[in-house]
Amino acid sequence: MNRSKFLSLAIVLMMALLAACAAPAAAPAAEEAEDSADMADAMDEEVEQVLIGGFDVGPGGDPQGVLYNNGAGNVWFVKIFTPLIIMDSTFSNHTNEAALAVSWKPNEDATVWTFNLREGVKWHDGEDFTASDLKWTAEFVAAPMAAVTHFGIGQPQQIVGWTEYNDGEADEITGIRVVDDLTLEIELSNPNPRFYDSVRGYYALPEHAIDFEPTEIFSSDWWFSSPVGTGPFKFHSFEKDQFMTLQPNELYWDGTPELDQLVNRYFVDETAAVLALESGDIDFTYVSADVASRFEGNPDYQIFSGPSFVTNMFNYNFLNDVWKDKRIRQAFMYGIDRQSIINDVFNGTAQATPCQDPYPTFWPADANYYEYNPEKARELLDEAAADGVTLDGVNLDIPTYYTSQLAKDILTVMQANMADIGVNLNPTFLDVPTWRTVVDDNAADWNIAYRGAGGGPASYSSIWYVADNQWGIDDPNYVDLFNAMDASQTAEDYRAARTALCKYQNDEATFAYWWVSTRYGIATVDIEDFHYFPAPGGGPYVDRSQDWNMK
Amino acid sequence: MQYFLRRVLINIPVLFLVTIVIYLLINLAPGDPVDFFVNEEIGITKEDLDFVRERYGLDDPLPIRYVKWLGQVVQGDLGFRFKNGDDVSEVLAVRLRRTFLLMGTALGIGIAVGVSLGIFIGLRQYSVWDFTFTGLSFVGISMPAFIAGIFGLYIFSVKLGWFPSGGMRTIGKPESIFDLMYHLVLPAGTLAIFNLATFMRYTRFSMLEVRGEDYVRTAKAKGLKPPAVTWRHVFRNALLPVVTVVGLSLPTLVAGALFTETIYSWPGMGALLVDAVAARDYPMVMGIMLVTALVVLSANLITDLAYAVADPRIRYE
Repeated sequence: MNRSKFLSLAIVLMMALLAACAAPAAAPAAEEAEDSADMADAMDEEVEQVLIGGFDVGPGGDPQGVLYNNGAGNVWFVKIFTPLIIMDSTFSNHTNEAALAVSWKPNEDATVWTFNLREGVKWHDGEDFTASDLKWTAEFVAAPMAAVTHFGIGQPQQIVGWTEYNDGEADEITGIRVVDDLTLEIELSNPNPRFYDSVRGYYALPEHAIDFEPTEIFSSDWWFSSPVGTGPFKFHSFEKDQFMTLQPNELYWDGTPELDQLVNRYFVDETAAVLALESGDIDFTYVSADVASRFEGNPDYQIFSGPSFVTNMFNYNFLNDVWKDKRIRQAFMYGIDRQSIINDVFNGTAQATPCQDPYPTFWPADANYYEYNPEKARELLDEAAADGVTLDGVNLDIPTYYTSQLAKDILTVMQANMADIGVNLNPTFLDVPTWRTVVDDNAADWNIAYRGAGGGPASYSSIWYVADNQWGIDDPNYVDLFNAMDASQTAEDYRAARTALCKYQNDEATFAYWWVSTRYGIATVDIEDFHYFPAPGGGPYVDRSQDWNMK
Repeated sequence: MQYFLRRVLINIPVLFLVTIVIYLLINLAPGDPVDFFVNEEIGITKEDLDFVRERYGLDDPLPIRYVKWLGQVVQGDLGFRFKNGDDVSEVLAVRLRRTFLLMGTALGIGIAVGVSLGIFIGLRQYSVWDFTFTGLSFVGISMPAFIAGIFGLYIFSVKLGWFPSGGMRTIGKPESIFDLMYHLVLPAGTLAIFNLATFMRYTRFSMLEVRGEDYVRTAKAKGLKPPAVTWRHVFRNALLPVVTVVGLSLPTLVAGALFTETIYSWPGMGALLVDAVAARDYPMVMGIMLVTALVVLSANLITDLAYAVADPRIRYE
């Protein structure tokens, strides 16, 4: 009898526990009343135009992230916040368009940049946006203990006073000056005629509405409960791990958005997002190249595509002497059938690149694309071997942080190609922290890494070739080429210098530069005037989300 | 009661050892949370990396970090996530609730249906029913969760449109239990397939074994009616191995199911653990492991106590 009671009690308790877990979460007392009011409002208002997308899916997404974290997530952030300037809609001409700034110009030696700001911009709560907000934002995210790794301005150390402020030695960033409400001045420690390219991620945050400290930038609930921006949409609701909904900002300077609600649904996995799209639960998601082909010719979907602006390459480790021999490096270029991989694995959706630069505008017309030639590859290896340089005994593991099926297929073909000429590669697929440990922190033990490298059309990261670079490249020509680029004062000079760098990389085959792939977004045809561009980090780019509407 | 207290006391040093081993293992994994933050395609200098490591206290030696963590834990503070600053205890509370609902429902269906079918076919050995359900159970046990998940999603959501493609609620509609149940059907159903098949096979096997015992023959010989023989003599005794299997399944109530949660966008513990490990989010990993270890130890204890309930011959001194 007692046991029966015990069993019955256990079953009842179990059922009660399940029921408790199934019950909607109780809102904190302080928020309950407000939530109820919001709910009532939501029920009352007529919500017809709702667009649900997987805006965080893919390499441009920063799932449930906050600003300034790691340079991704702009597809969603730009709906709420606005940067100083913004990429054009496809970045095909690499031009920037006005956003918070309507015009920008440098002084004579490009050490002081003046940004004229848009008139009439208001925060979501009705307050006026001014140049002070931008200065405050820079100082907020650059505060000494904020531990922000990716400030919205590229290479912020170039701004006068930034380092001192970041180190806690100054009370303000002296190089960022508010001239008046609509004019911001930024002074640089060195001339940079292309500084405009560094401020596309410089979003404005509202001083008057932020109630947390810089040290709480990653932990504050503000981003998910009451963010205030100047973008076309304003915050509506957030369900942790599930979705965030936005509603139109009636104060938006370029007109009130047509959608009643814009929803970002969170997915852990691209496959789940694609199935949700096919089932009609969402209207848009990023998809990888091998999945995109499934939607081709389907009248129910519209396909958006664009270059990744990331060059995929074999990063050699010059700290190991074998890679200092150009013949060995070129043997890889000739030994791998790049065009076949582009045609058959990528289904033609990637573009061969002659150098590290992902922007075709800087590619030299006479670049060598190293047509597949296994005989030539063997000859080069034999010649090097005759001089005592050989791959025998060299660890040819290829660590990569690309773990998709597409990446696995690519590296399998490369492995087969190189096996044909007697070189046994061994791709290893790692998560990012492991990859970084292998490649960055353990310098001498690796030889080839398969990776990507990005950058802007007006900025080129010098970390690859400067003195003491971690790859062990010891070539003064690179320093000269970089100096020539930095010294360029006109667009023509800059283009010529950057093209010369590309040509040098191409001739030297410093690394094995393979391709720039195409990235995709798929939307249902139910969305009108929709635009998506798979920009690196998600942009920010002009998408005119205020015009989006559902049929 | 004395037995219970003794078991609880033994579990304390076990739990302590588990935390040391797990802390050591996660810290031995290559890389750290800062490595996860870095966008390789943008690049970052070593100075910046060192700066962030110092800010997060990651430059302290491992034993110091462990002692700091343990010191916080004994005060009831599991710390904050490196990845996004979330309070680990709060994240665990929310995720546990979701996972318990999913896994509890799947386990409940598995036990109710699996044990019932196991009894049903255990009493009908070599019948058409036996062959049919045994065959199906092989499929259920051997089908990987991600295949079952994708099949379920493709057929019932994409093709038939009967159920949502994932998530826990319909966006734009007020939260309700019915909506939650509607979203629960596919993921819980997918998970229940494996539980159901496992419990069915164990129950069948156990029933068949007990049915051949002498005391069952004696019960029949003394003229008991078949239902009385089945329930009083066969089922009660066949239940013990099933209790063991169910007991071993209890930790899944908090551990979650990675593939099913991922495919159905069900934000539970399985997906959280993978996310935390990938990000080298030490406080989050330790929080999950601590809870899981607690549940495993508790489940073992509950299973042992359940033996005594199921079988009056078992006594703990």
